[in-house]
Amino acid sequence: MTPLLEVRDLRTHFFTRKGVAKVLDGLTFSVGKGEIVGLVGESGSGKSVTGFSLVRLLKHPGRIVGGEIIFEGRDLTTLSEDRIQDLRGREISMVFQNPRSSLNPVIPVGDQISEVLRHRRGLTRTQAHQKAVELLETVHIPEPARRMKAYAHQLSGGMAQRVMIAMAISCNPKLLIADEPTTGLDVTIEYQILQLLKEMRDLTGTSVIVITHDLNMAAEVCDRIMVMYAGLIVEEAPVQEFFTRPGHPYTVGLLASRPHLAVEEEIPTIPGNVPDLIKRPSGCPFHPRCRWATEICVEQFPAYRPIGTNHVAACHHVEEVARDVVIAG
Amino acid sequence: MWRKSHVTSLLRVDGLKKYYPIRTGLFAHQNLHAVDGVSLNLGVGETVGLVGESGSGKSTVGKCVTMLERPTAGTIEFEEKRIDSLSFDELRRIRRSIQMVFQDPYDSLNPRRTAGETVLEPLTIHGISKGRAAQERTAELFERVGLRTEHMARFPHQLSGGQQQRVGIARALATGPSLIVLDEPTSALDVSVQAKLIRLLRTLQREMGLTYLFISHDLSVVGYLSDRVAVMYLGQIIEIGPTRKVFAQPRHPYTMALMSAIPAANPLERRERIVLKGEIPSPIEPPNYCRLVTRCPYATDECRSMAMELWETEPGHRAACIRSVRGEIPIPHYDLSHRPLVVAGEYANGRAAVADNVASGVASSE
Repeated sequence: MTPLLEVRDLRTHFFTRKGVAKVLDGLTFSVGKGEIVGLVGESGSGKSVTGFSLVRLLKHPGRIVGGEIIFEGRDLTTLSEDRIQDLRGREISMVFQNPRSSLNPVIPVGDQISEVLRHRRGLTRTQAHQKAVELLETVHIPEPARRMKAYAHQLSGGMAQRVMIAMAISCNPKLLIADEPTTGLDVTIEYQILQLLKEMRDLTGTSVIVITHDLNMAAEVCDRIMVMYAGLIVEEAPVQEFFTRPGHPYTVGLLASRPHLAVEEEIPTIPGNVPDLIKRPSGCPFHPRCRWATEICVEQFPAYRPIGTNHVAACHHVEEVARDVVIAG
Repeated sequence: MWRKSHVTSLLRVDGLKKYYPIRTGLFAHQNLHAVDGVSLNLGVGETVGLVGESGSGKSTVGKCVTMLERPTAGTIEFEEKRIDSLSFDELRRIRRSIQMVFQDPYDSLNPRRTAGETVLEPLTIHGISKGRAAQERTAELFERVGLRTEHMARFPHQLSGGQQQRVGIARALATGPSLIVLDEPTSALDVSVQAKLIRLLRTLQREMGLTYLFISHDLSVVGYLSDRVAVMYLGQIIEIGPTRKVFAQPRHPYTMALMSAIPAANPLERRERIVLKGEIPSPIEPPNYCRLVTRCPYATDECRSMAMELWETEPGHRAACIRSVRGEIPIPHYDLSHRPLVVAGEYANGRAAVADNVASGVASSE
C-alpha cells in the first residue's frame, strides 16, 4: 500500500542573527491512509515546525532548504504558492491548540464554517448553512442550529475545539494535522475530543497526525507513535510496542520520567537539556544526555535499527537498552 | 520515610466561600460561586493535593489561603489564628509564613529584574536581612533549589523554563515560610523537566519540614506528591481522603470519571470508562443539590432533592455521593502498584534500587 504522505530527508532551517538553527535536519517518516500517527516530543524538538512545514506555513526566518514532502504523488516543497493554497483546507487541514484564539472573535462560528464551505466547496449560502449545522451535529454540539449564532467567547474550550474540528473536516480532507489539540482542556473533555478525532477517522477515512508532548494522550488515540528529538525521528513504533518495548534511550527517559500514581520511589530524570540547534552535537544528537553513549555515538550518526515489526530506533546500542530496561507488570 | 503523621494542624479552612458578582441588568446582579463552602485541614509537614478541572475553584481556594483574595464567607485559621480578617500590616507578617509558587514561571517573574534581585526582594521587604547578608542568603537559596550562583545575574528570558520555576521556588523560600501554596507549578514544563522539579519539591519538603497545598489538574503529579487529596467540582470538594484510597477506590462518580479518563500508561490494559456527558455547567447561582446530576451516569430524581453533603465512607475518606455511600453504584478498583517501566543498570536484579541509582547519578545537572 502506498502511503498517503511521505516525508524524506526534510530539512527546515531558521536563519537567525545568531546563526542557522537546523530545526529539522533530515526528517523522514510516512503516514498511511486512515492512520492516526502521533508526533511526540518536548518543546524545541521541532514537532510543530514539522506541522507548519507540511502545509508550507512557515514564518520568517524559517525555510525548507531540502528534502521532499510527497503527498499523493506530488512534492509539496516544489508546489507553487497558488497550488498549495488550494490544497490547504481542501486536502490537508490543521487544528491548533487554543481553539478560541484560532476562531474569529467578531464573526459567529456558524458563519465561519459556512464561509469555508462556500469558498472551498462552492455551495450556495443556504446549502452552506445547512451543511454547517450538519457538521456541528457530527462533532456532537448540542442544539447545533442555535450554536451557529454563537461567538467564540461564548463557547467553552471543548466546544470551540469541536467547532475547529468541524471546520477542519468540512472539506473531507485526506490529512488532518492536529497540533496539541487538547492542551488546555480538562481531562474529561480531552477524552471526548480524542474520541471525536477517532470517530472522524472512522467516518471519513482521513489520516491524522497528532502533534503532542503528552505521551498518555498519544497512547489514547494513536495507532503509531513517532518520537522526535532535535528535529529527527529517533524512534517509531506501533502504540503497544512503544510502551512495552521502548528502544531508544530518549524514549526510555520520557517513559520513565512520568510521575506514576501513588508510587513512592524517586522518578528517574533525563540529565541535561535539549541541545542548541545552532550548534548541534556531533554524531547522535542525544549522546550528551545518554547513559548508554560510547565513542561511536559521538562520532557517527546512528542508522535506524529494527526492533520489531514496523518498529525502529536510531540508536547504536539498541541491544544494551533492551537488556537494561525492564518492563514490569 | 518522608510521609509523617500529621497531628498538629497548620491551616484550617472552614466553610470558605468566594462569590463574584456578575451584572445581569441595570440594578440586578447574580453571583458566580467560584468557591462554595470548602473546608480543609492541613497538618504540619503534610501535602494536600487539590485537584479539579479548570473553573472548579481550586486556584481561588489557593488565592484565599494566601490572602490574595478576601473570602465572601467562612474562616481561615493559620497556626490557630484567624487570618481572614487581618489588617494589611498584620497580613504582611503572616505572608512571611505563607508563600505561593505560580503556574507560569516566566509571567510570574519581573522581566526587568535579575533572578538574584527577584529572590532578594522579599528579604528586604520583610526586613529579614540586607546588604551583604541578604546577598549571601540569596546565594544560599539559589544553591538550595539547584541553581548556580552565576544564575543570579541572569534575566528571566535568559533562563530555561525549569530554571525560571526554580527561581520562583527560591523566592517563595526566601522568607522562611512554613506553608507553600503551589498552583500548577509544573504544568507549563516538559515531562523531563517536570520530573526534576517534582523531585526538588519533595527534597525541600523533607529537609525544611514544609507544608504544601498542591493545586493541579494533573492526577499523576498529585498522586505522586500528596499525602491526601481533595477533588473539587464547581466550587465544592466532592471527595477527600488519603491519596492512595481516593485513587485506588474512588467513591464519587466524578472522581471515578477523572481516574478512568487518565489514559492508561500501557494501552494494552484497557480500563472501563466512566464517561461524563456534556460539560461543566455554569457556576452562576448553582443549585444546592449535587452539582454533577446533569452529567452523572448514576443520577436519580432523589439526587435532585437532597442537599449536597460530604459523607464519611471510612475513617478519613469522605465523598459527596449518597448513592455511593449506600453502596448502590459499583466502586471501581485501580491497581496502583503497577509500574510499567523500570530502568535497570548493568546488573538486572535489584530493580528499584538501580532505578534510584540511575536517578541520583543524573540529578545534579540541568
